Amino acid sequence: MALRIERQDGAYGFDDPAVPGDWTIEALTTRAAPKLRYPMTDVSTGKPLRYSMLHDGVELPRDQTVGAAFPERQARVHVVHEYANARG
Amino acid sequence: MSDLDAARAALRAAGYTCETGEGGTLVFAGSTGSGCIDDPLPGFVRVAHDVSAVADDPVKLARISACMAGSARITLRHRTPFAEQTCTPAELTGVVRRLAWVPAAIPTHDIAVEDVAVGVFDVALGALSGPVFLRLATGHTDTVNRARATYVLVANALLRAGKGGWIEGPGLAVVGADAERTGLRAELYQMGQALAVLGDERRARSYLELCGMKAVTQPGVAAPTAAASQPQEDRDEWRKQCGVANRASGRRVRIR
Repeated sequence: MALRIERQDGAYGFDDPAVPGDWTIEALTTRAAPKLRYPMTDVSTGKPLRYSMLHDGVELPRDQTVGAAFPERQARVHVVHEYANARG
Repeated sequence: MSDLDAARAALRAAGYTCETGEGGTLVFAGSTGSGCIDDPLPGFVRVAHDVSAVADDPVKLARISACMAGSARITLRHRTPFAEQTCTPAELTGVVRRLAWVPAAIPTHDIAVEDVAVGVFDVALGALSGPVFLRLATGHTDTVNRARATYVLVANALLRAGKGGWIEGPGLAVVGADAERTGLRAELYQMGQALAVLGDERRARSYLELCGMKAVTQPGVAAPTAAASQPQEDRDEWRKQCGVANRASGRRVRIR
């Protein structure tokens, strides 16, 4: 699975030509966020920050596998902050 | 009797001179040349036979490594190429003689070649049906090729799931379909990441300097100075380690 994974603001991204198809969207997002230079914990509260993965502007289900989400075997996705991160 | 003691007895019976080297290893010398033996696992010994007379080009040595039978491979220790294989003490004498006759001419390879994509998180590894060479990168400039081949030879001393080599590019030769996949994926991933880093010309030249190997001088480009001269301390250290072997065999160990 060849994916182009980018930040929402387009400031940084990377190409991965070998994303395992049996990974879930949750697992891929968790691994990709640090690579995109996103913080993993809230500096003020110390709570972990959550991220979502979007494809063509649509949020992908977290428990869906990468292989099922991208039947065309290649795609461009964005990793964005979850709305939950905005809560205190 | 320990494995090294059994190895010492077998080599002495075959006419080799043996002495205890640094770190408890066994250093030997005889008609076929010199080398050293250690015992990485109970019941097994790892023999490394000096093959510096075969070639000094890391790409050529890596090509030979890919075509060697079984788990035998070429490694690079202290800038000296060794033919290395793990075996039982009973098989040692035959293995030493086979390793000594590494051909200078690169044999044709009869192993299937498969290109493996190395990603940011993992490698795309398909099903393995038999002996196969998993190629991790394609040929590049001479400096990058030398750096990648040097890395493969150095890594060969640590690789367990397969052996490093070169068939139109660096990769890992897996000798059997029953290779343990978790360890193989980890080794492929680590090698792929390192080879990708060495794909940069500047980093490749720095790596060659770090290893004490000469980089290829391109026309109009100044050659690096650090790799041109070999520190006298390294030469003395290596001679101290193999002092008995060198005196016994009358050979001079050539270091570049």
